[in-house]
Amino acid sequence: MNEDSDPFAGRAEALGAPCANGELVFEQPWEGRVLSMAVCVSDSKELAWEDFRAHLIQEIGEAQESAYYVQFLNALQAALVGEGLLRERDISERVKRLAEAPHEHA
Amino acid sequence: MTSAHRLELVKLRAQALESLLIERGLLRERDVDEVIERFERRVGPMNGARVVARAWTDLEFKRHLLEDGTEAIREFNFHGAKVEKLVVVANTDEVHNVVVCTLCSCYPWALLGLPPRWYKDPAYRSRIVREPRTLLSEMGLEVPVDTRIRVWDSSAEIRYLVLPQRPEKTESLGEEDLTGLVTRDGMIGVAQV
Repeated sequence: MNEDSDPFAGRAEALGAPCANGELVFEQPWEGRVLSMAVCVSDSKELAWEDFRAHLIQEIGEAQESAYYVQFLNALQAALVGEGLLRERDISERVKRLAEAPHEHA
Repeated sequence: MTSAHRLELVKLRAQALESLLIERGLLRERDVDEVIERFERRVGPMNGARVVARAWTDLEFKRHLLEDGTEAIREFNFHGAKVEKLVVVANTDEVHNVVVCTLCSCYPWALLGLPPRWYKDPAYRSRIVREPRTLLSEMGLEVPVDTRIRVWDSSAEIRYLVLPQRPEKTESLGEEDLTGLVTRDGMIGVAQV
């Protein structure tokens, strides 16, 4: 697959995201952000798109969770942790902190 | 745990990842915003529709498009269109074309936006090869019995786009009006235009 500065290059086929009439449909804003985060991080070359895609395929295959963007988020988290870019402990601490200050991120 | 609570945790987890990635310098917030905007608005079936409408109104362009799709669409300067080889296949009274990716979900996304969910569905991917006429009929497209159906299997290197037949009684319409008639499904080959 070609590497390209284009954030979409060769990637959309891996997404299979909910669409209506060829356009992406997000039920909630966080879904769009998660998708964009994956594109941006892999664009920065820290995380290869193919590695993320492999996690997504695995996540969807295991089908523990049926909501597409939850699978997507799980895959992104697993890929980031797997590549050593983030640590599970930091993520859960941050979740806890955000939960304690919910209004800040309404 | 209620589903509302579960969703809240998912949202928090998404926020946590984003804030950590930004702090680590792996992500910039404005880049995330820009990508969302592109996904939502800029890439879509409209690109493909413009190509089809041009081919309907400009025979020289049509000839070029069928001969070398990648080169012919260069003038449109579509975002990301340079990545894969594009092969355009024309529907005629004799042949109806339909596109699939049997291995995964390769798709001419620069022309059609992101693929519809059914395009990735294993049932579509296998049945369109095995029993295209039946499946197309179930999807609402009756292909005349004397029209042959050709199924094109996409790959990471080659993407296919179907050039639908120009609808009847559209002689008076210009390229722009014709663009509005072209549908995504028509360009995948699972619908007529």
